[in-house]
Parts: sequence; C-alpha cells; structure tokens
Amino acid sequence: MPRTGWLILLALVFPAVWGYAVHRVLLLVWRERMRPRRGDAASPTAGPALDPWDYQI
Amino acid sequence: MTAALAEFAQLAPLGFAVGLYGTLVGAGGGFVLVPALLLLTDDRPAAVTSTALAVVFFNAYTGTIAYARMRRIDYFAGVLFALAGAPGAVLGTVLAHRIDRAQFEPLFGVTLLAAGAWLALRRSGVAPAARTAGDPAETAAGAATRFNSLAGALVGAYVGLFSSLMGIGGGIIQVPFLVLVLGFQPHVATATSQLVLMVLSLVATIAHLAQGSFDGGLDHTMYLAVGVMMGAPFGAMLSSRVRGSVIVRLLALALCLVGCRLLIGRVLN
Repeated sequence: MPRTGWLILLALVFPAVWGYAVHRVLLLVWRERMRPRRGDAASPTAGPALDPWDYQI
Repeated sequence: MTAALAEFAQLAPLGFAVGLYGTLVGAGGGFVLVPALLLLTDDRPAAVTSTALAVVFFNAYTGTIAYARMRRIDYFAGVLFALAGAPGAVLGTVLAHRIDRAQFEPLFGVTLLAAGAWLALRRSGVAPAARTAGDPAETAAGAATRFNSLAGALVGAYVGLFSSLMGIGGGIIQVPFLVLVLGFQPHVATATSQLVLMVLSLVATIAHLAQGSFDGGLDHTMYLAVGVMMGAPFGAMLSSRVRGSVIVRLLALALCLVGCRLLIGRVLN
C-alpha cells in the first residue's frame, strides 16, 4: 500500500514536470529547425544563394 | 461457417463502423469497442481493454495517414501532445492495476456527460477564438495554429495518464480541449488527435503486452483491425465534407456515450 501511495503522488506530480520539460525542449528544437538561414527567403541576410561579387576576382 | 469466420463476420463490420466514426470525430473508438466487446465476446475485461487499445492504434495509424495526405495535421501540436502524454500512458497502466478505478468512474462519467451536453447545446459548435498560423516557432505546415503550447503540454501529459487509467484512448478528451481551450479548428483538432492517439495507444498497448493482459485477444484484434483500417479512410473522407460544428456535435455524442457507460457500469456493479 505505501508503494501505491508513492505511485499516486508520482502520477499527480510527474505529468506536470514532464509536460513542462517536453514543452521547453520541443520549443527549442522547433525554433532551431524553423530558424531562417543564410540564403532563405525569410532570412534577414537573404540574398541570392551565390553572391555576384564572388565572380569578380 | 466456421467459428472463426463467424467471429470475423461479426467483428469486422463493427471495426468498420468504429473506424469511420472514430476518425471522423478524432477519437480512437475505444469508447464504443470496450462495451461492444464485453457484450459480444467472452474475453476478460482486462483483455478487452488491451484489445480495444490495440485496435485504437490501427485506427489512429490509418487515420493519421489519411489526414496527413490532406495536410490537416498540426505536427508541432501532435508531437508535443504525444511526447507529453506517453510516459503518463505507461504510468496510468501501472496505476490501473493497483488502484480501484471504479471509485473515480462516477465523477469522470458526470464530468464527461456535462462536457458533452455543453458541447451539444452551445450556439456555435466551433470555438470563436480559432486562429491560424503566426509565430513560425509554434507552427507547422498547412494546418498550423498558434496556441498556448505550455498549457497544451501540461494537459497532454495528464490526458495520457487519465485516459490510460480509465481505459480509453484519450481522443474524446483531447479534441474538445484543442477546440474549446486552445482554439483549434475542429478539422485540424481531429486530425492532430489521430497522430497523438497513434503514439499513445501504441505505448499503452506495449505496456499492456508487457503486463501480460493481452492473452487471447490477438484474433479479435486482427478481425477488428481489418474493419477499422477500411473504415478510417472513409471517416477522413467524410470529415472533409462536413462542417466543423457537425464534427463537434458528433464528438458531444461520443462524450455523452462514454459518460453514460461509466455511470451505468457503476450502477450495475
């Protein structure tokens, strides 16, 4: 019975902690995945994939 | 006709109906399967719950493929709810063997009945706050919605626990929460719920297998799986032809059915 008590306490507390942790980690991963990169249309440094100046040696 | 063929003829059409209705409202159909299997077969309640969860997996798997082709799934929300709810689903299975869940059934039944009645009687079946894509950090392809992701993760974690504890898939709790609280469009909520259910029901089925409560249910699972895998694509197809308010009202009916089952089951016991 004491073990069942611990299990009920775990069932009450664990989902909140786990849910918060998953939320933080997934948001970080998702933001990194969605971050605009150089050359993307949405990037602040957007531009043609090949810089025309590269050709003026 | 052999006994196996007779069982197949009985269970496959039931699976078809469950697949169609479950996919349409974004639920796995466990709420119909459990009482039907208890009536139609001689399986023990624990084996019936395991069979229902496995069939919910096949239903959600087929429904997810159909909805993914329609580009209706919000993948960020789906992955968030599935990851948040998966450990709770295992914990709920362990807890279900240790506590008398009948103590919670009347409260749970009344809550579901009240939620179903409220959903059915609302003037508009669709959340007025339903929003579409905004912050790229919280949105996915096509069907994305901006929502409170922390609230979603916390509720998703508890939904995984309670649905597993009560022996249901969890879709009938998830879809109203997505629509009414987080402001998802009903069509996106049902599709996303199928993705979440696919993961949660797989985890819960593995937990049931590990606990040995699946004995004897394999043939019934296969007969029903044939039916649900044929019915689910029809449910997804039908979903694109009905309005969101109709889906919400069909979901309200499902909530009332589960609420009644829990209350009647308690009275009969």
